[in-house]
Amino acid sequence: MAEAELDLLQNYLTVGAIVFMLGVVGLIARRNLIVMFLCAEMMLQGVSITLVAFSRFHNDWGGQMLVVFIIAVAACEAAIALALILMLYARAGKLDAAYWQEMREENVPPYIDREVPLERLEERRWPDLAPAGVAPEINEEEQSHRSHV
Amino acid sequence: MSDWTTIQKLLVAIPALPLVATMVTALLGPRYLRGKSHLPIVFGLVISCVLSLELLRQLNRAIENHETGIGYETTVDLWTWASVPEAYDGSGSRKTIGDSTGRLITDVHDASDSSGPFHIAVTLRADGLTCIMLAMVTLVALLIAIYAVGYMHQDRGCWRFFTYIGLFVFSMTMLVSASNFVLLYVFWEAVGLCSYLLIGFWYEKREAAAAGTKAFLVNRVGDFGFALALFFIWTVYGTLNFHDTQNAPGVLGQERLSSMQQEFGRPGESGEGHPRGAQDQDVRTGYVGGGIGLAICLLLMLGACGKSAQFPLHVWLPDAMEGPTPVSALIHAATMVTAGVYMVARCTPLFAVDCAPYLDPRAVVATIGGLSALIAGIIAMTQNDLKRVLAYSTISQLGYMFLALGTGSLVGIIAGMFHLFTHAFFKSLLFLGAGSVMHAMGGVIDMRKFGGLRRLMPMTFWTFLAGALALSGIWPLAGFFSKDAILAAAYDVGHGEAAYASLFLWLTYAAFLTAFLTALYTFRAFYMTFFGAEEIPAEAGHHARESRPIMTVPLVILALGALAVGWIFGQPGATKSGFAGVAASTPSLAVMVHPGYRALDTAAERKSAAERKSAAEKKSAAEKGSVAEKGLHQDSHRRVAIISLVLAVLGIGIAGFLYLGDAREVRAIIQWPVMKQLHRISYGKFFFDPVYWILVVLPGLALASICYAFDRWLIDGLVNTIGRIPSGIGRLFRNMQCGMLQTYALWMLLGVLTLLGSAVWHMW
Amino acid sequence: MNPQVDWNTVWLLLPELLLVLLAVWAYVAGAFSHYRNGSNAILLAGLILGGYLLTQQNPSHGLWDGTAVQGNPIFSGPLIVDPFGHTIRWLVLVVGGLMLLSMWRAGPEDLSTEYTGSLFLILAGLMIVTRTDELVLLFLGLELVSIPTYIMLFIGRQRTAAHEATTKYFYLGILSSGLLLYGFALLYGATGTMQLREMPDVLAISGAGGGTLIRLAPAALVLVIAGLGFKMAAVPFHFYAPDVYEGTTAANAGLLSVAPKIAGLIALVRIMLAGFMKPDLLELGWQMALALALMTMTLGNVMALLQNNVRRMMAYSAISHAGYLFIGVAVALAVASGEVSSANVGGISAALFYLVAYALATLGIFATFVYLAGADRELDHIDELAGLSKSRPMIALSMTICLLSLTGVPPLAGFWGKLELFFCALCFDPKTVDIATRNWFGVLVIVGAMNAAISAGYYLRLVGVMYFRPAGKSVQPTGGSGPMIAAIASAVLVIAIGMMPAWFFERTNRAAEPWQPIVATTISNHASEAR
Repeated sequence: MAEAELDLLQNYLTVGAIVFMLGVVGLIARRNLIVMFLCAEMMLQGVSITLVAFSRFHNDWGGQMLVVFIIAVAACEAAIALALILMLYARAGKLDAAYWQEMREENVPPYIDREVPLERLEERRWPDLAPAGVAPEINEEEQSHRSHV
Repeated sequence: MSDWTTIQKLLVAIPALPLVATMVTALLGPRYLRGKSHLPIVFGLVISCVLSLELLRQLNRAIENHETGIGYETTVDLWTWASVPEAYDGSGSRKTIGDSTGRLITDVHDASDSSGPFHIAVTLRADGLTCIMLAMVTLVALLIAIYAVGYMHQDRGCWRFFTYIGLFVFSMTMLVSASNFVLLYVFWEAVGLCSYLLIGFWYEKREAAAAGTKAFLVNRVGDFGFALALFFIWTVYGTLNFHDTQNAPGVLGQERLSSMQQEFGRPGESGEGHPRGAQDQDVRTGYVGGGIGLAICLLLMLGACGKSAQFPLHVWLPDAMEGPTPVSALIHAATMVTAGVYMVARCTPLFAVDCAPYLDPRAVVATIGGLSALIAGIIAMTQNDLKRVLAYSTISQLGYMFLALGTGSLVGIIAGMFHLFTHAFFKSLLFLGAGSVMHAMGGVIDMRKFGGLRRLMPMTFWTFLAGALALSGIWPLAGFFSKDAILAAAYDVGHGEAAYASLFLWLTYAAFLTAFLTALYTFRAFYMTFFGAEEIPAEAGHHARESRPIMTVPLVILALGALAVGWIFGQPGATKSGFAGVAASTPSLAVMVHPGYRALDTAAERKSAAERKSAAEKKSAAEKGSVAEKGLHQDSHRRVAIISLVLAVLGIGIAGFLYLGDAREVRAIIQWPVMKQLHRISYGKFFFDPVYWILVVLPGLALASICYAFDRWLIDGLVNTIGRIPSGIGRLFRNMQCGMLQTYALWMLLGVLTLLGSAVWHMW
Repeated sequence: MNPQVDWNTVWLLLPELLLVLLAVWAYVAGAFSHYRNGSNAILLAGLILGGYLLTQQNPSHGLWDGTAVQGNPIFSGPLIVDPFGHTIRWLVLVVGGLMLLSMWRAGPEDLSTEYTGSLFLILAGLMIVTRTDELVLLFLGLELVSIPTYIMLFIGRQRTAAHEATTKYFYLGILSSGLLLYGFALLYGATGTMQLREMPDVLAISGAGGGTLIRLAPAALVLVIAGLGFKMAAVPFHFYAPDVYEGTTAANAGLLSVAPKIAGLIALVRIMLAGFMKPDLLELGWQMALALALMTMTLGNVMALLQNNVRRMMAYSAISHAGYLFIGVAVALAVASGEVSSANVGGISAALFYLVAYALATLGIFATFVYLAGADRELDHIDELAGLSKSRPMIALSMTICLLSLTGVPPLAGFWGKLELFFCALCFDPKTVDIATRNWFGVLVIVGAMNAAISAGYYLRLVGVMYFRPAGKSVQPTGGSGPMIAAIASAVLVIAIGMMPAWFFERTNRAAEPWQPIVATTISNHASEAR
């Protein structure tokens, strides 16, 4: 019994660890503030998976309680993150975390982005937007071909 | 506090008052009191002085009611200053001493009893010596403070002066009433500090600043010796207290002194190969002689030489005359310089140990004293600075005191203390007189620049005369009795059967010669100042008149003292309660009347035990008689008295012959080949200063410049290099702090991974 | 011994509840009025009321219901009531009072109540951390310290540098929270319980789940140290500190240098000496703590030497002092792992004392900076302090006292703290403790002493500027009297502690007492194993 349960647990733990590490790596690798925050949330989800697995394994409610509170705290942090990101965007016009590197040791040179070739304007493709305030017309042709399953 | 006896209360109050006065002056002086800064000090000193006299009276009564034991003492414990339990490891330290010097201490006593605490309490004591010193210090200080009110009235630094004076009196009273060596040493340094501050009082003057530094540095040499002596005493005896305490018998405590009553410092009966005097003495209760005992004595004496300006450390005292004259009178004539004498007298039992096969420490003390007396007397002959003449005279008189202490007999030591007492009166009188002259002459003190002042300054003239006669030792003035007692004591030893009899004989002759010289140079100065044609230097201006009453009244009081103290206290028939009686009741002196005490001139010393005992008893009876019944001035020494008196009169006469008038004869005499050389040596002060300059100062300077270069280039370079290391390390790590959020996160993650790796490595 | 939450638990949480209510009140009232003095005065009164409640909860007096027995902690729900928590709660209140004073006029006018309200939530969080016996509540307490801190950094000042500081602290903060939480999760997995008090027993039977999961414990240990090391600004989790301190206001920097450090140290002590109460884990723990102490002290100090910005310098100073705190932790863990020490002041006690000394002196310095700065200007460069001794002698003196205390000059508080830390690290019994261990602690002390000397380099530089550099343009203090009172009060407290360290050591020794029985049993277990 114990062997089987442990194997099961191990699977959950592996998934939890992978999610957690994805979050960590994402936080370090990505520069977009929103994505970074999402990665941080992902770390918490990894922790949550682990906790729930342990909770089930130990037959103890504590882990699940902690998960509930983690979700609550994550919500708080999300609120703060949103406010912060909004204000940072308003201030800098960018969501680039590397933009915020003014505070550093003296005599240490700043990082400069490698120049990415600008996209040509004509090549830029915007997503098509649905016209607002007008009811879409029914495409009769398609309706006729649609299979009724 | 409520259960203190009157004596204890007085003992605490006497130093406390000057301290309070000092604090008041220091706090209020610069802003509020200004020119009235003397008020708290004088007020404090008046009360202190009255209390000291009352203390003396109380002590007298206590002595009379006290018969048993060795002398009389009372101590008062104020608080514990330092306490280290189990600090003294008797067996261990003794072994070390024995090892290092090979043969000093050999026996091992009960090891279980060998450890003791290092316990230093702020303890004051009252005994004969202390009370006499207290009375003398406060009285003289009071008179001089009153005088200084007049003398310093124009000085802007008035408050500073009186603050220092108050501090000095506090320190000095604490010094003489301290009941352990550490406290003694602390205030020994404190009076040295006051001396330094007051010599350099007019620090704008280069000479004054230099003189202050010189005094301080020369004193350091002595203090160094003193400190070493204290270390030795601690190592050997395991205590630094004078008095007995619960933990240990004090160095000068009754319990230890009682060992002197019996078999004190005797060479061992089977003495071969053993240090004498040490082997059968338990250090917990007895005294240690031999090399270590001698070392203690010589180091103590080195300290005393520094403080009391004895050969060869006397060079600072004449320069110290750059300070204000009241300071010269108080610190450098009457009180501080006698601290060395006081200390040696206090430590009499230590000096009485048997240091065979080495020197007897008392002979060293006497020799230094005699030499200083003679050398200073010769130098004083040719000095032209009135205060310097008096300074050399002080050295000379202090030399007398050490000579007296060196005789090692009760009569001698009491004579020394008595001379200290009388000297305080007439020497401070002379200094104040000189100050009065200097005040009137607008700061000029060179005797060649003024003369014939006796009509201009009659009060000064008459009081100075009284002081000069007392110093010369003319009957019945103070100096006669005390000096005569010293000469008599030295003469006794010289004519005894001690191993050092011939030495003492020569010292006696030197002392007689010094007595003659004393009269000669004193009256040379006196005649040059007050006789001859009236001559006033230009600097005097409108000052050239008799000083104000506030200055002359202390002069008169001191003059009365100079006239009378010797007569009052030094007379035959003085009882147990007189000076000699009070002084002899001091425990460390009282032990000398007991049969076990090893006197220098005891003929019976090398004889068998039985003979020794009976002889000692006889001697003790004789000494007791001589002290208690005949007083200091013994009839049997009428011859000494007459010789010294004749010499003094002769000196005064010759001085009159030479220096009254135009000093033609002087010029003639110094053309004589012998006298010419003598004059050169005397005028050059035996060339101590140049010799020290070459032998001590120049090598010191050379060493200092080498050290400076070493320090500047090598050490500083090294230190700076080392100092750059931390910031260099910092620079290495600086690039990590690059300001990038992700980089920081990466570092953190790397840190976690490193820790994880180490954990994995550690656990699996 | 009641594991259930009941009214008693609520009563025990009364001071914390009071602080939370005050914070809520401040948030609500701030919507209607921006009258700072009024709201701050009420908050200050609330702190004093909290102090009164604390006196009613003194565990040494058996509490109000008489259930507490001397020396044995009582448990109520997720709470543990012991002298340790109680002592820290006092520290928190005093620190809170000083911070409230120095933040009297900090922050923008219209957000002032949000600012001080957040401060009170932080204080409540700290208090919860000090007395939690459960990982869930510990996590919540720590988050209750962190989240309001983000807000305070956020609204401290509207300028780019402040935004940057907030960003860095926020993102690195949630990273560290994640690490810490994962550590909690693994610890939970290894022990199968959230209750700290049950963990030693589980560990004693080699963990839950038949001994397999115990192998997760070292990883949990590392992650917990990392997560809490971030709060204490220990190398290599310190990187945020210099940038954040430099970017934010002086008041916020003072908060950051004290509040998370208290939380981190307390949480570390609570978790380490319960959740990892197994000799081999503790051995790993003390080795890590020792390594962190060495790195943190040295790096903090050498970097501080290079700084010209006062807040940045103080940030590195805060880092180096975290290293000193780790000395105490390392000693405590080593002793708990079975090494025998003869010190009469244990590592925890010494670290606590050091924490008190550090917190007061640091707050005094930051309060001075707040005083000298103003609502719209910060004191940045060291040279701006020039001539302070002439223009503001009292402030210069109080700051000098705090600086000297941080340097460790006797007889100020910092000196005794360092002395006891070094002393307890040197007092391992040579008979039973092997030479390598003693050598490592010896190295720790030597490095600590050298670092104290290095730290004099930059602390005395500040003193030198204040006293010996002529004023270029004199600083116009616009901070108001609140920060000034806080600065002087800190200096007075530093002197008072320095003058009677024995009284405070008695308190910290009592606070560290709960671990004595645990330590003793571990030693005896260890000894029996050896036999």
